[in-house]
Amino acid sequence: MSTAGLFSSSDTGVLERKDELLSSEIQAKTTLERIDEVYEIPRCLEFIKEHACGKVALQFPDYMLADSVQVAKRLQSQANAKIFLLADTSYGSYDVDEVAAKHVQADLVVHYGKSSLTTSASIKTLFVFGQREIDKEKLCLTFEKTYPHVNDKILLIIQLAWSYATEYIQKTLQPKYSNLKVAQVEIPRQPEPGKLDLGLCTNTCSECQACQTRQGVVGDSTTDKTTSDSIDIKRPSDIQFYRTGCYEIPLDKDTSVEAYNLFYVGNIESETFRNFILLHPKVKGHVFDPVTLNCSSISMPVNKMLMKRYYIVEQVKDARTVGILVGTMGMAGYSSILDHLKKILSQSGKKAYTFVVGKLNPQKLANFPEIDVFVLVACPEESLIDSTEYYKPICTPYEVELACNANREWAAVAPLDFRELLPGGRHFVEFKPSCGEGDMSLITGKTRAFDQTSASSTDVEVKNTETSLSIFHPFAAARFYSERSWKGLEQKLGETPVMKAKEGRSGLPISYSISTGSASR
Amino acid sequence: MVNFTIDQIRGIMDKKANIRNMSVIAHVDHGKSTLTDSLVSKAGIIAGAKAGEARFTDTRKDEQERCITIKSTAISLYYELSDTDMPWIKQNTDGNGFLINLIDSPGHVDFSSEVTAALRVTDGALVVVDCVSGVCVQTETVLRQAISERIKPIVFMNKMDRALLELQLDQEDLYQTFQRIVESVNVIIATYADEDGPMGNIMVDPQSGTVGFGSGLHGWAFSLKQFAEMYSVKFKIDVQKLMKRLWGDNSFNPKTKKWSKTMGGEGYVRGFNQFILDPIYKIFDSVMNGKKDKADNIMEKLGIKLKGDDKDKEGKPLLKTVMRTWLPAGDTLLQMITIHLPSPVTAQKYRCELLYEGPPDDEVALAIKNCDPKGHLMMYISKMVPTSDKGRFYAFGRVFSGRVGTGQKVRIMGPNYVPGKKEDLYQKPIQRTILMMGRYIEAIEDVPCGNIVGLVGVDQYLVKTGTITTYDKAHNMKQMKFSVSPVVRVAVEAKNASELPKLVEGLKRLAKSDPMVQCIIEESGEHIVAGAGELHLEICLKDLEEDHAGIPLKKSDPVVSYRETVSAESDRMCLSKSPNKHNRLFMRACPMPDGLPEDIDNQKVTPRDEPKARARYLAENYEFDVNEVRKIWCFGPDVNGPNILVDCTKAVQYLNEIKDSVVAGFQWASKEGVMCEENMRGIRFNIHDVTLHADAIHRGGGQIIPTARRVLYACALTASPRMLEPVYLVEIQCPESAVGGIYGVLNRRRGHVFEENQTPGTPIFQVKAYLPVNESFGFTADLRSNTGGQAFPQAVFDHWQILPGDPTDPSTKPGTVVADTRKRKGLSEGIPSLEKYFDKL
Repeated sequence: MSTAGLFSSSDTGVLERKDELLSSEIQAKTTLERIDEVYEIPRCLEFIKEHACGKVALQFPDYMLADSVQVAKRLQSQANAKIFLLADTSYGSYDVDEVAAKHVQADLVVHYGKSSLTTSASIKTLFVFGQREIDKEKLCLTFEKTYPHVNDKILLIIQLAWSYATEYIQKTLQPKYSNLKVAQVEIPRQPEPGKLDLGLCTNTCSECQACQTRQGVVGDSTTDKTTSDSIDIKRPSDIQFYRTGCYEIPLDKDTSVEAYNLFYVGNIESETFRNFILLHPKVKGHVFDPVTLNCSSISMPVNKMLMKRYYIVEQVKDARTVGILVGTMGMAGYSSILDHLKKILSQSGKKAYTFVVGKLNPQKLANFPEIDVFVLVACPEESLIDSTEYYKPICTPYEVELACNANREWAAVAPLDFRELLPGGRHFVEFKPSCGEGDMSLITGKTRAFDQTSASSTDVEVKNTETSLSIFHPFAAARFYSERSWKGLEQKLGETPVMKAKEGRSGLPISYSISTGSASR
Repeated sequence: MVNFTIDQIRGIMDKKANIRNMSVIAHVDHGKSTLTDSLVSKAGIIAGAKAGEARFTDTRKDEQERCITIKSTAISLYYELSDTDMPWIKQNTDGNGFLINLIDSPGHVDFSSEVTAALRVTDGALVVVDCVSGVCVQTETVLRQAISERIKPIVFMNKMDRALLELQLDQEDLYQTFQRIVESVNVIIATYADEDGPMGNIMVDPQSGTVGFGSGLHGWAFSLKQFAEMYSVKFKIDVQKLMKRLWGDNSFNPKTKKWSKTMGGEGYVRGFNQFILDPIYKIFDSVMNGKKDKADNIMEKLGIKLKGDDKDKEGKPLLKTVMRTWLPAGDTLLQMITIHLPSPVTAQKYRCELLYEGPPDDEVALAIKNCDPKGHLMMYISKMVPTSDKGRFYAFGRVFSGRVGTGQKVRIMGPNYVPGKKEDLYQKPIQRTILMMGRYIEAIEDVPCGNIVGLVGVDQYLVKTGTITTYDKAHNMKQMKFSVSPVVRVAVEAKNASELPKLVEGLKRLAKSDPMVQCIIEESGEHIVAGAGELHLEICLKDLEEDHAGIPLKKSDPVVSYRETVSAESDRMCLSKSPNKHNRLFMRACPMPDGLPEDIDNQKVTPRDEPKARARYLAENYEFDVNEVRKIWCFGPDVNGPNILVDCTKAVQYLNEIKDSVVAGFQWASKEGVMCEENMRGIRFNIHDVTLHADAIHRGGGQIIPTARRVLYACALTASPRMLEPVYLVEIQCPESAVGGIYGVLNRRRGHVFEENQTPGTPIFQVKAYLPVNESFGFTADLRSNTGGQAFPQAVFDHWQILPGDPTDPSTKPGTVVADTRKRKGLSEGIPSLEKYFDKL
């Protein structure tokens, strides 16, 4: 949801910008005593030392900016490295801002706050979630009260900011609840030259090297502090690992997430939770909010949300000109999905343009009225833009696939991680252009013209009779401009009366003064 | 039934002067389908092996169950006129054999879009009037539609059996009833057609044989011609002359055997009563009262000979047989149709200008006028008929010129096609041409102009209607205009979210299968089905669930679509600044004068008009300032909606440069109003001043489009916003005793009666009232229970009316409407505050 002032963002808008709706996450300044704890300063120092980093860039989300100076000071004083604070992010706070880090030629980016845990392709990244307070005892008590039957199948997911408590909770609850599954945060391995990119393969198959490597990674205490090796869980063969978002969930063989009751610790309005629910719309269970200590059952209007997404799929089908918005530069696989999107769009007879506009806002995108629909390539948490303020809708790569790929069937889920759409991904489907011919749109009430051959052939005819030099794609933006009433400065010789030059306006644009006084108001 | 091979049928199709395309139209329950049955049994064409299987017009199961026609159905008839009757035809003919393409249409007002579609492809109409209840609201509606499409009407007075058996009217009363019906029909005709109009005089007149009488149920009918022929030998008077004497104030003295041109002479009886009603009354009396001898006597006199078993019948069955043998309905009606209704050759001459959008003298216009089978093909698709193949449709329509055949490559042009452009245009071969006869279809090689035909393989390129042609410069055939609007809406949802695509697919099919229904996906993701009334929606939803989508559905209660409007001029000059603060838009909103939104709806004022002429019209009729309204930037929503954006600025720099952006913002805002994102209606927005940044880069679409939307919202909020609700015109027929009950029900539902009168000569009252659509759900049932089942309402959308009260106050009625709508659409609670849109200087 956009805030009220989006169209009229005041001059201080950037400073006051509320990070999307998570009001409860907006923290006051952390007290000095807790900084070490919250920002895991010792772990950072150890990491810097171990990897011998010379230049370290710190990336804070907006809601943690208040503490950034303190954190930087502490690190600077104790580490043998130069510390930089990245002033702003290019796309969003989830994403590791590789570009900005490269400006200072940093060896390491410490990413604070919520994260999609997507690795950057070239720079080492350390994720610090910011350990937020949680009443563990209360949590366990609530859990036991909510699920009095110890044999219930329960799935426990803890939001990143509180995930440091996973170990304690698991230790407390696991002995009582035999069917409790705890989702583990999975931090991808640091990229090293010549090694396989783990981010690309998400299948839990045993053949692929990437997965084998990852199997080793999970539970490795050096890279993943939250999964402790001290807990005595064996990895028996009847457990399958199910990966979703940045979690890995050990499930009994032949069961799906839907078979479990979800107990989610975190904010119900967070993107992490929303994405999980969109992927698993049938899941039932409870949400425990560590801030308010409330526990409520899940009552998301998932069907409504999915219907809304389907509306956008229909809009993509209607669209002739599509804008691809690049919302990440750091995430592995982003260029593959760009190529993929361009390919499927052009095979579906649509014209695609690629935009890099940084952080999105309505006025930036409204500068391109010729675009019918935008598709945003970004990390999963930031992919879904659900706002009516935008002039044209913004969809996810999955929705473009749904609209254009005849092989893909609607499955009443909304996968947001574009990597899963690529070959090897869980949601990969061979592309086959859908024959839109004879289809009608329920939005415009018209037939959809996808007849490429006849469309382009007549177009060539038309364009060649004019004086233009190039042959346009039938849905190219140039067509839009040819239909506008304003086509740039025209001489209009003889059509306008000849007048003497007059003194015009002067001053700053924000308050011109009109010297002639004729139309002043 | 006539048995023809397809080649024989094809042969008759070429004789274009001997084709009659006609629809049967009437008020609901006046007996169209029953009457049509008697025509089909007499002359229906059944090709080859299909003979023997009957029941032509009942194509749907629910039509039979409910005893109501839902879809119009076409059937072809063949009739040979006797040589003696041929001179009656006043237009060119080509032999004695006639091909009659008849379309039986539904009478219920909810399905009147089917009537519109039927009228478009026919040239004549048989208007059926129940002589007991007289001319009703739907009779008037369909007749008006027919005349505006230049369809020539003939009238049939149905249910004479009821008048005689139930009401026991005496002869003179019955004559007066007939006379009044003829008069009321002619009043309607006179209102909507000129006597010296292109169709000539189309008033109906029993004396000329354009009015028939009888009973569809009993299968008998006559016009004055039948009786005049019986008596002309006896009196030695010419048939045509005699017909004149058999109607009106012509009286006859049986004793002196003399005619008089006036009434009231002693011993003189009205000709109609003496020679027509008297024998009929006598038969009724003798047969129904079991006076066998008397009956036999009359039958012998009239030359009615009964066969075998029929002689043993008694009472009503005997009456039916006697009347049917004496005055067979089929012959009478077919004679009326062939003699008085125009052939395509005659009709297309004067209909062409109403049918074709292009210049009246281009190649195809001339071909249509001349009904030229050698010209370019011009065909109008008026509706889609479902095939047995799920999801596919026959495109049903009429060939106006040229010929259409299997495999022919044609241009398929949808309603949005503009000559020279390629939007909504496809070039495809026709897979098959077929004849549609009731529920049977028969493949045919090709079909020449003047005929009605179905096409296979065209359906996926058209939504509901369209034009098929072979001429690459052809314009569209004109769109049909419906007399009803889809104002009642239901949101449907698949019970299982994974079946969403099936629902969407089903909605698309539903949208095709009905000329009127609207299937929409809203931005909230809701799937909306909008129809003309409760019955219409019920049928549509049933079709959707059982047939088109085939999945279980969740249906919301019916809701009404509202409109957002304003009731005063903005109380201040509204300003919005662009995000970069460098551009400012100053505007005000004010309500349009009464009548202008309707003028825009009816396309009397359109965005395509020549601006100067339009400005003059607006200045003359609505007292607008001519100079201002010359600069109407656009209409909205959807470029032709009933809101306008007027440029009232003086000497603003770069204004033309931002026009496209402001228009885009206006389309956006007028589509999704500020209060609950419903369409706006009846608002005029004036742009008073604009200041823009000197650099083009700072006044691009990104700055202007959202700003224009914001300032328009601010204008609406400051101009006393109001909600508009749709209102039905309800016509209720009931006996006097039930009138009190009607008032009670209407009062409870915010309705009010504006007209009440008794149908002369009958105990039946007609009550006309306005009733908000929102209050109409369950109205019919409520009315029936409060009047002991004696009142029958017909509701048709009439106008929009302001829902009294301030929508910004949540405690008022419009306030709750806004709150409910916002909730349904998943919008934030409460109307956004003005501060969100209004900036301070």
